[in-house]
Amino acid sequence: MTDIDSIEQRLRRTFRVVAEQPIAPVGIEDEPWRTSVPPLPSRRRLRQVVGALAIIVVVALVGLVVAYGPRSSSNSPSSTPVTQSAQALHAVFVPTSPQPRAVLVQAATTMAARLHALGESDAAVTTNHGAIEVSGRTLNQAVLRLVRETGAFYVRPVLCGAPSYRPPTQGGTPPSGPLPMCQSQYALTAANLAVNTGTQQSANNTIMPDPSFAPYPDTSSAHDGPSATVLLPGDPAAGAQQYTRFVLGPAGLNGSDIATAYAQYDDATSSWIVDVTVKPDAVAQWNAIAEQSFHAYLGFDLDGQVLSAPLIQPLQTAFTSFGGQIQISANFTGTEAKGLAAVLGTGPMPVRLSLQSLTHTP
Amino acid sequence: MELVSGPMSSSDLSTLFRREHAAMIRLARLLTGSTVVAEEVVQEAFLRIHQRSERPQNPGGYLRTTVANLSKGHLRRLRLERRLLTRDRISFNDPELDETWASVCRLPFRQRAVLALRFYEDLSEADIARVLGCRVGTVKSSLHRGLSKLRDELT
Repeated sequence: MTDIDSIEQRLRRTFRVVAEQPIAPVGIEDEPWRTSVPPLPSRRRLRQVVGALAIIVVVALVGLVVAYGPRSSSNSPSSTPVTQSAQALHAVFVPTSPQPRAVLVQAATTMAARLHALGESDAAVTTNHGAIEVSGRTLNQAVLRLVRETGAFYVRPVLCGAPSYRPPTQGGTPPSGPLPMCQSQYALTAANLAVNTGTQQSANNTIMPDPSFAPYPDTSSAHDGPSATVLLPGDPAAGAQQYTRFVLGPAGLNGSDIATAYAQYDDATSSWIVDVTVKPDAVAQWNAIAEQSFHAYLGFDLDGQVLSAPLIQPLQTAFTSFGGQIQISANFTGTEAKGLAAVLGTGPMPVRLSLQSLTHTP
Repeated sequence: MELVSGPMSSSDLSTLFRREHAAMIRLARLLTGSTVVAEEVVQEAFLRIHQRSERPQNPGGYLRTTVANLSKGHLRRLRLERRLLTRDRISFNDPELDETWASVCRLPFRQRAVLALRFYEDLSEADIARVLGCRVGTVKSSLHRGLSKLRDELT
């Protein structure tokens, strides 16, 4: 019997280590249905599809040119020439609930600061009858997504890992009420993690996610408040993390405590990082929560996703002050790191915004 | 959960993708033994859910079953084409894990899948049967055979 038990233990450990090797980060562009051509068919079929598409496109283009192409000037002297490079993108954002003008102006200011941080210096932001309008010639969808991001940032202690959400099977009732406590054997306390300063790692890095959280869905943005205990997924764009989901305690620091944020390429680790400086009056607070999580994990929660959850000072035998610095490293690309820095450095949006319309204007 | 007929909306799919992508890669990696194949399988699974004309009752369950089926099909195809299945060289720094993983990879597909769903995903025998589309009795016997084969090899 003990044989079977130990085999089961070994299997569980092996599966976990194999399964949780790093996964390449995915973004919206990786969603397979966004590409018109299925990614998996055999090469021959792929060629056929591409060929057929090319023919359709050529036929369509020829048709368009015949139907709507330029006439000789004598035919239609009034038609205005439209050139691609002269077009600007014009986006209209509206708050998800009506807001006083002061809030809207604040949101527009934040948006302008983000555009500036992203290098979109020629973009214009205006408020207009309860809406915010942005236009610019070099804007793109990625920039427009970043400028309206809520940007609610919290630094929270990680209480334990949680498995993927598994809704109760049909007929079962979902659990209600607040999240339960992490069970003690899964708690990511410094004592449980037992960091070995020699290897810079937790001696006990096989602490499993607490299975009792499986039936609980992710905490919604409406409930992702600073004083709440929350259950959040790892940010898929930030690469693989220790757990698929995290249970995190009340925030010890939030986005409005940030003074500046810059993206930097770190030669030592060959990766992009975001360097955050905390406002002077929040430095003590930042070091207090970092010290509380010494040799344990702190999670960086941005808009309900965990960007990363680093182990605090695993090299050191005693806590030393971080001063006003926080370094966020995940599997960022340069663009992602710059986007994150732009959002963190300009503070959260005072209101949730949705994109109402997007037009090309000459 | 609201009742919606027709295909899943693009935003529903995006949410599902964001929520389940990593978990599905992990599962497919256990079933196929290869990250590259796992990524292909998961892409294809999401594509299938997208191409369905009706929203599945339980998208998560549908996805898991599709991943399991595609993993099996993929292995079969690879074998037929006599291509070398490149298994991940994962350095465990732990001979015990290396040995265990190598033995797991030698098991027939169903036994390996049952073990992964039981000991990684923590599914019940009934749920495993649903995912793999077989009877509970088959799950039980595969579980038993897989475990005793591993016990013979590893102890």
